[in-house]
Amino acid sequence: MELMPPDVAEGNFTPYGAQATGPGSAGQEASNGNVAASVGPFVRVDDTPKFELDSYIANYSGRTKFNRLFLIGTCSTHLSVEALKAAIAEAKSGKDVSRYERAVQALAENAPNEIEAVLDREWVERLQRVVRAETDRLEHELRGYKNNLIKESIRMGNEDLGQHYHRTGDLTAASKAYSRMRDFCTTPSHVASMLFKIISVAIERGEWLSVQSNVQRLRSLQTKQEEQSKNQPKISAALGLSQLHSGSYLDAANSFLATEPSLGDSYNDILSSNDVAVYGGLCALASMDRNELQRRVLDNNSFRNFLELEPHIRRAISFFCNSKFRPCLEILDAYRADYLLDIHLQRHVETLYTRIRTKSIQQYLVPFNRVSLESMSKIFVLGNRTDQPSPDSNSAFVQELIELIQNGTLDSRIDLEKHVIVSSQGDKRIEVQEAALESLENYIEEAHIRLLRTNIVRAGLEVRPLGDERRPRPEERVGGKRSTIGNIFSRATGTKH
Amino acid sequence: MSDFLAQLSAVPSRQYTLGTVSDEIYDRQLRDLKACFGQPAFVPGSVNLTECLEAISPSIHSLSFLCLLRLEIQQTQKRTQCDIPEGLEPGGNLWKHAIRFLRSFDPIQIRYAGYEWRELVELVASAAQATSKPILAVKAIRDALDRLDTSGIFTSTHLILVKLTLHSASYTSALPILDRFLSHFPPDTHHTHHEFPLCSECTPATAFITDVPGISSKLTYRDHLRFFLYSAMIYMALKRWDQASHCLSIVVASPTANSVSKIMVDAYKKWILANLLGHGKVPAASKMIGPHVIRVLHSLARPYISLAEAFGKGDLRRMGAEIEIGQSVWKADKNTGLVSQLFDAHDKFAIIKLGKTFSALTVVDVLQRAPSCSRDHFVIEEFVASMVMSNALRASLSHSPGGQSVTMLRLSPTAQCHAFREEYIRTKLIKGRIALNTIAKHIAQTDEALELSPENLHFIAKSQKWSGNSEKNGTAGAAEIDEDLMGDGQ
Repeated sequence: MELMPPDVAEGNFTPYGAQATGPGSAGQEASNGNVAASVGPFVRVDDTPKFELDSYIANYSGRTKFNRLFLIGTCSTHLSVEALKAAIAEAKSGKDVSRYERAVQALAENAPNEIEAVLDREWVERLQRVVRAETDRLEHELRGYKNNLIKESIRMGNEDLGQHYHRTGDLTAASKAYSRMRDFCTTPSHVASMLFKIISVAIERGEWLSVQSNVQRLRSLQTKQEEQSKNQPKISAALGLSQLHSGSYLDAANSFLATEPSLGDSYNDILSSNDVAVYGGLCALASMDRNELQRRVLDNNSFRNFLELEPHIRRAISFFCNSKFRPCLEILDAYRADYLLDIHLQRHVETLYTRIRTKSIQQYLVPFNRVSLESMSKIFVLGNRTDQPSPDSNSAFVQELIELIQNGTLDSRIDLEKHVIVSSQGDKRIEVQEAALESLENYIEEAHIRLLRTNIVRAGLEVRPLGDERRPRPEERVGGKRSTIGNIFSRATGTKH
Repeated sequence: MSDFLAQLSAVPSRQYTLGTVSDEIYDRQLRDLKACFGQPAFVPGSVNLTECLEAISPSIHSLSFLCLLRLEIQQTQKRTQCDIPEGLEPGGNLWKHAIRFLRSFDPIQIRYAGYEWRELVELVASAAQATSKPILAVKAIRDALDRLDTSGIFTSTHLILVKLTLHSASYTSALPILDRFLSHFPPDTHHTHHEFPLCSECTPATAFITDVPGISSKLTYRDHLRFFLYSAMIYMALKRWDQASHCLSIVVASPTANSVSKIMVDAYKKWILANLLGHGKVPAASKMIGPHVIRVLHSLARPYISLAEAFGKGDLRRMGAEIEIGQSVWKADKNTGLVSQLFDAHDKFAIIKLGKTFSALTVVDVLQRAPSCSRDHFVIEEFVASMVMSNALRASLSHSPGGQSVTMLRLSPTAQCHAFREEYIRTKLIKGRIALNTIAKHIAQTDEALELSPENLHFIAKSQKWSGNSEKNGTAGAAEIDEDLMGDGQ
């Protein structure tokens, strides 16, 4: 197995900060296109991924196929031409002109000499005409249905129009058309199919909040038992996806873990079962502790079916559970390129990996009172083992540890004389005493200031504008004083005095 | 002459009399004596005042002594046509009498001559100032305030004391007064009701300072702001940053009526610096400060805020640049001295921070790990050593046995001996308890003065309900009478 240096991908990462606002910002950027395309290449991946492009893309159907191909084409250096060619072929078989143009443009930038890199103007014009005619026809039909006031026909007319817009890449119009179906749905199964269509458009547009709200609607829908069991896996997967994108990895892990294996390839226009295994596995690794991983992931019978599709994820999790952190991290590192080329995982790989690594370091330190830096770096410094016999105090790994200690993740300190990490055993008694003394001091100070303020006001010594030095006459204050409190009360209670 | 002396010593201090005189009689005697001095014919022209002053003791016959001294000073002033005659200058005859008096007067008798007492204190202060020997007055006034025991009431004398202290740079001498909580101000309302005569031991200080209006001159808001600002400056000179910051926050959080005093702005600037020097960071401003005040302060103290930001980020170069840019600002605000201490403070907090990450490292490493440190590596060892010595850093230094010039710094939070630590905590707790008790007492006094006892509030609320319900029945009057009774009962 080839071991890759930790910095597989170059480029500017915006690991988590950008993701926190993910749903909103992505939605704005991708008002009329899909997320990946509108943001431009997020990272450049120079390493060869482990998957075969053909067999990988064969897992998917529908519009996600093109989106994934396009993403691989723009991000990977190795697969660029191959993926973009496939993307162009895919686009040409559909009706979306803008994707075709994007793909051709991207190919022209990477490999201008390819035949496919030239725009097929004739096809474009013909298709645009066809699309326009089709739009007119469908809208005309819909108008006719509306005049007839037959609910079912209006619903179907809207559905046809929505599907047409979706196919031609006008996502905003598509989601509007689908939303218009709502009033004309008569059976729960109609509602369900409408919601699924809205969700799939929302996923493509990157509107994760809308995905979540529509998933909630789907959940509360009363449908037949069999349909419910048919819909459940899709619902969980869509929910998991939206949670992954909004950065709540634990929730995402829970949603993916709850996905029934009956998902199979029924949701291929969004994600495959392999994806569920990878997303769920990584999210779980990043957010759960060892007991939970063992109980809820490895011993989970239904999720096992997914894990069998991606055995390395299962291996990584079981290594983690058995405290064999190095093999676990090595596996993850080996697949880093793959995940960086995944349309949904791309932006979260770094965050997830950092969390997993931090958690491993934390777990590793639990049983130790002091650990030598050498033995730690044997496990956590990936790369050539013989290269660094003893860790230098300036090595990247020590620097990483220092950062972890400084941001409070690790409760230990580094001894650079003996090259060990010492776990801090703070004296609880002293800590409590210090906290008590501090709060006592704060209390006294605040009480003093408040008391002074009261008395300053009482003595008429507030800071007032120059020229207004006059203190209220004693008589006024004496006269007013007795009734002051009364006045406050009358104001408060609103009664007349 | 002897008759006159007998008259003067008719009312001795109670500490020196065996028989017990009842409060009422003693009160009347003192008032009579005071009234006598008001009559021009009371002091016979033949009497030599200086001899009288020698003859009576300032501690036993404080009231007579004070009045005589005042008379003598007035006469001298009239004779020499000079505010501070020669005899009143330090070393002079009158000065000696005044100091003797301030050191030993009887606080109870003085309650009857508050105005005269304050006049004397002010004269002593200005005499010392005029001869550029303020330090001579500082101690006398401190002792006088100590004897008078204003129990937490701010008077104009306090302000005089801190001013003189700053002038004389004898910072520690004012501490006994500064370390006490001041939380009351002489209200300018006169209570008509007295529970005890003025001379009674039980009369609370709030009462006599109120009833003896002369004991403090008329105060304005600037007086108390200045007092706390000056106190903070004294604490800063002694590097007691906690107390300084507390005093400054009192000034900054002072209640305002639609305007902000320049003293508050000054205090805010100093508050930022004091916190940087004492804690290495600027805490959030107190919630008691009104938002409009905060806005004004922020806009006027901008150079300080950006300096604090640079300090907080540990960006030494930017901090140096900020300090350089703001030279004229610091100079104008007279804060150059404080600003110049920032570098040391910065290094200190950088090294203390290292203690959270490392348990041991070489001194050379210290430089690397705290890259913002402004020292080279020979000086750093001395600097660390001085920090350890001054207890700012709990650590130990050890030279390696091999004779190499590598010094190892071991940072251990629990290096202190356990018993020592417990003792330290104990003293702090005791101090805290005393402070808490004082505050609680003052709060109770204020509550009483504001008529804020729960029963009273309850009663007022209830009586308003009555009057609201039964306005037509005319029972509202009864409730008012009740309220008055309640007021008298206090």
